[in-house]
Amino acid sequence: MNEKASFRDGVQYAWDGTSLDLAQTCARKYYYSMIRGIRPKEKSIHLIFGGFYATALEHFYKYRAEGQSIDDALRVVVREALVSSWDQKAGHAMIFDDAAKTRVTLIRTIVWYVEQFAVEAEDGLQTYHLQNGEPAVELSFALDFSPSIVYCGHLDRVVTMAEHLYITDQKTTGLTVGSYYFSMFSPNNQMSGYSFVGQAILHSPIRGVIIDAAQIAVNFTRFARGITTRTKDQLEEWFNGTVYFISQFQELSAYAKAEEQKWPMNPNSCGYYTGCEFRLLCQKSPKVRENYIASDYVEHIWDPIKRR
Amino acid sequence: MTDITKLFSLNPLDLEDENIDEIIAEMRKRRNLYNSTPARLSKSSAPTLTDKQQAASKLQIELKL
Repeated sequence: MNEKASFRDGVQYAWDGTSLDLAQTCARKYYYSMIRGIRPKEKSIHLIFGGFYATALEHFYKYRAEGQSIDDALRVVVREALVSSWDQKAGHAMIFDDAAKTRVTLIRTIVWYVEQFAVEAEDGLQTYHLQNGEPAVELSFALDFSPSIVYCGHLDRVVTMAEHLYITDQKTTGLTVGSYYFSMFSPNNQMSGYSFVGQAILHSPIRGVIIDAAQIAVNFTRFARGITTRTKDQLEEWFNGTVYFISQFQELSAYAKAEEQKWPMNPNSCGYYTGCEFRLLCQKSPKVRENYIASDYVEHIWDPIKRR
Repeated sequence: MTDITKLFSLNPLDLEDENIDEIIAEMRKRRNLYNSTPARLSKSSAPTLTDKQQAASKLQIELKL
């Protein structure tokens, strides 16, 4: 196994929201994802769809910040999404094995998002500009949390609303987007991390994260905008808890190294969301597991410190 | 509804800007259609609690006058 840039002597020192979630969910899941660096051959359609969508909106705001009109920026990102979702080798569109999340509904969702949110009122969301005049979009960060922990990530866009600063994020879901849906983002590592880090790198208080959620259905996409806020005390609590948890986890890592059996499963988390992507693997007897890894899993390197 | 199936079946590298605009226009049309369906209209035009409260407070003011 080649050591990733985020690791030193087999122990992860550069962390992000994704790897933190993995570690807190299940040590065995963390082992398969971060230490072995594998994922199922068939990538989850939800991840594929969400990835294309997030990239499209991230690029849309980047082109807008560079001065392109809404229509021009939209034309470019729609073309990019069509190209990304086309299998050039096979010569046909990628197959989306889902009734609601398809290539057509991906393009529909991008266009409908722009129709819904691209034109902001003067008192609505405005892209924040850094002190050097650059728009605060696509900001990569790496922040020292302790001598042995660096927290990394990527802020898509920082905005102002009513003179307060917020980070924005986009989500897709099959769930109804309402108060129950938005309550899932507090407590939440990704959102607390954004708020904490945003404050540190912008040297200004961040009120929280504005989440534009898209409910994807077969015949429609419904949007809702939610805000998840964090107080100074809540951020301090998240920071202390995170440093404590990672420090403990690093001790486990130093002990367990690359030995599967030393990374305990958390059977209570197997059914979260649409089910753990390693559930089928964990269901096999340990003795035959390597055979399944060889046949049903592929290499997938997630290296938090690598900038996009 | 315009049939954009053919455009989706072509290699996107071969699509002209006009083709992309055609896809976008069709998606906008679908959004307008979705927003104008009876269920959506009745939902958005149904009196909300706020509307009722506003009407009640207006009535109270008129009664006082």
